[in-house]
Amino acid sequence: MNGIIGWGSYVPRARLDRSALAAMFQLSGARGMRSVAGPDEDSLTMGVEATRAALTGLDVSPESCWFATSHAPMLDRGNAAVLAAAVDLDDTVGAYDTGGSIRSGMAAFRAAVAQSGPALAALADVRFGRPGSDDEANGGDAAAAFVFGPNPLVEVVSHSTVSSPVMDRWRSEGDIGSSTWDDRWTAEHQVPLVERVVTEALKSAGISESDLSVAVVSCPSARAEAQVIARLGVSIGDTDPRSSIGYSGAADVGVRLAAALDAAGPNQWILVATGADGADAMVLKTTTDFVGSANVSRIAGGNTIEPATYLLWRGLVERAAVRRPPSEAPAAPAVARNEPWKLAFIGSACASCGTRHMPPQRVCLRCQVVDEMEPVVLRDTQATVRTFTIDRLAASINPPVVVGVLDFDGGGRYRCQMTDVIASDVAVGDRVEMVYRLVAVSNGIRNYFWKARPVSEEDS
Amino acid sequence: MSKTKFPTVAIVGMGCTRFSDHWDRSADDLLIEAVHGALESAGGVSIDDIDAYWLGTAMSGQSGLVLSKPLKLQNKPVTRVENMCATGSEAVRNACYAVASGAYDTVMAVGVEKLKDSNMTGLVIPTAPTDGSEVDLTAPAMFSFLVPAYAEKYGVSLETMREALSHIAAKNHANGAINERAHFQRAVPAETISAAPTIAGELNIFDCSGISDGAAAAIICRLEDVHKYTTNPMYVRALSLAVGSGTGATDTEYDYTTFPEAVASANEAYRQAGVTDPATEISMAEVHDCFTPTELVLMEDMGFSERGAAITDVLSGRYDLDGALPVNPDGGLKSFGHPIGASGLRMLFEMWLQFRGEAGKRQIADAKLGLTHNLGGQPGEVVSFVSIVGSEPG
Repeated sequence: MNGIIGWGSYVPRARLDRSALAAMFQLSGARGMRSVAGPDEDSLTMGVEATRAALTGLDVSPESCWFATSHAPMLDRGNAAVLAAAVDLDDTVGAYDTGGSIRSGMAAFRAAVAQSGPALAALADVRFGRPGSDDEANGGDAAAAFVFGPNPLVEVVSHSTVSSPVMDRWRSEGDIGSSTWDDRWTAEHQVPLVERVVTEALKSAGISESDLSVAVVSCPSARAEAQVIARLGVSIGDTDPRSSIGYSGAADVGVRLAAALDAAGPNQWILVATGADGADAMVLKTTTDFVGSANVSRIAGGNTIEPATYLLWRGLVERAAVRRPPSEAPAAPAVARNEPWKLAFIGSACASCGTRHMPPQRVCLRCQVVDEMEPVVLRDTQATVRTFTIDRLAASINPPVVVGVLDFDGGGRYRCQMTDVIASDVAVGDRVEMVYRLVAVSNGIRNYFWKARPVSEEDS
Repeated sequence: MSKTKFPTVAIVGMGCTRFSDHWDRSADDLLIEAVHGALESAGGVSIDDIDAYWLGTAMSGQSGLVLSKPLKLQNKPVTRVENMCATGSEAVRNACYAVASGAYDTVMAVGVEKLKDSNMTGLVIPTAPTDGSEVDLTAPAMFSFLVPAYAEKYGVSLETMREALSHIAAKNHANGAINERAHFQRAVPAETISAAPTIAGELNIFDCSGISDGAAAAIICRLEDVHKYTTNPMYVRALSLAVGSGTGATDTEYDYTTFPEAVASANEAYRQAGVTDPATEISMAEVHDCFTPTELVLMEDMGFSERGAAITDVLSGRYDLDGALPVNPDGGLKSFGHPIGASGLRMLFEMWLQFRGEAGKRQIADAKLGLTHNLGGQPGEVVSFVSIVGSEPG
């Protein structure tokens, strides 16, 4: 069985203060923060970023890629193949969507574990809720990704599952958020199912609760989750994101497991327990060679946004259209021709004089040599803002449009949209990194491309 | 070194509509007025005497039919040309070479644009389908890159930049205020201009040319035929077009303080006309002031100001109507707006009026050589046209 050889998570930078959101609805008692995907972020873009983090430093070619979300940005056409192309996996990868339900996160994880060759699981979610609902306040947007392969850092020792068609929550296509049954009933029905699979998984692993260093418990119902933790009597660690970013649906178990792994040490037993459509439990064990990482700042950091900003970003309040033409939808053949550039931000470098070209060119701009180009991967290269402008006239999903002229480390100039910025804060000399983002939706086609965002002090 | 020959042709008739929000007039109406205006000014030459036509329009229709239908031309060769915002000049350039080659004796260059039937803010530039990776910037944003780059390179404060840009806008509006064909015929004080809110980078609404409707036309023949039409022709002394490789946005060596294509087109025009010191030999110029920083940078690219000295020269009034080298005496794109296909011809029309002494309150005394500069694209990827015209054949 495959084990974990790499992991990473991604949390959008924006945070919404639940008390500010509650105040808008004349409610009280809300505490903590939730993470909010930017107006150009969705499950796919966050999944790409988490996957990039998980693949960092690994020399592995996953044979399958499993993407899970309860809120897929694209339907019929899959998201997993786009994700695989954006992180430049070999095209022999089997890229598959699992989706629709919260439990699909566990499905992707299990599918990747079960493969004989290297595999990838990317779990991402944007959590909507009806305005003023608990789901809205307590949900969070995030993603996590895990790379599996032989000689792992974390072994998956046992797994136990039970399925039960619990009518705890329901949502149809087009609904803003879910509706829920009385949470007290849900907890009473759900908790014994989780206890059952945990007992079974521990038994299969040949250990007891007292052997566990940490437990990852993830349930849509906060009440059920708290009861599971209390009854098991286990530690859930210091990095529980429920209060700082919220419950992130299909991604939640992944985000919490990634945080637990960041903080873990070698030779530790970790329990993973989830309760959705039944329950799943896994026992993991870190190996002797295991080294954690200090990536917890992704959960702790963030910039606070106003509730009105959240409503605009979510499309719950519609901005008046400007008298500008809508963005042209990308042409399918052009995207296919330019896939390395368009999907994976791969430019070209002149073999003769070294000049880098973005987008890739056939004729060198400096020495005019024809067809002597080599591909150069630039999505992981940082850049410096040479100059920039703020376009207050252009149509955009997040006006005003900020465009930077970027000089990449090691050479190459590119002019592109900047994101995760406050227009008035941008300055010449700013350091930026490339991220995969939504540019526009035209004719229902979601046009994604790479944008530059300031390198965060937390991440650098 | 270019080997392009001196274009031995002259303009013997011109017509130009007022540029405006012509809500009540179509492109056809504007074309009929400009074409028949040109015919009348050439001594009542008949439309049948024109052998061939070049029509410049960027987005008001396709093919020569745009011109032949309203004018009811009978099986004449009509070529529609497009070269972005230099479209009007491109019609003139091709028409000039057609008569210079001897293929035709008398031709007409016409430019038209009807933009005000669109409900869009600013110019909308049609594009072919793409992979969706290109940034969708508006024109003001494209040209706004010039301001901080210029300020940084020459150590100019943004306040001083603002002062110079407002001076350019105020100058062009003042010139337009005394031009009956201008769209905006009202002087605007520099303080009002400086106080307007920004729309792209450092640029505000007064830094931008307007969106207008208009048409203009010119009749062109070889030098030996000039006497048939007028005793007061305008001689074409140079024509040049430079199309860049469009690599500015991806080349670390481009610094957004110049249009290399404009420099190349100016140098080629000076070579053809035998101009060695444009700062003193050019009497007046119409340049492409699509945005105020464009005019600022062009003063250096045309060789009117030393590098880094345009700010000082602008603020000292060198390019004002009563300055040493009046620039945009008719009010420029700032006052006329920019009906794309017509602008290049409108620039030549001002030269035509000036050389004939018909410019009224804007009349510049003793003008010998005039320059028109017309560009399309954006900093980093430009098509740039320069003509030099004069009252003498050279």
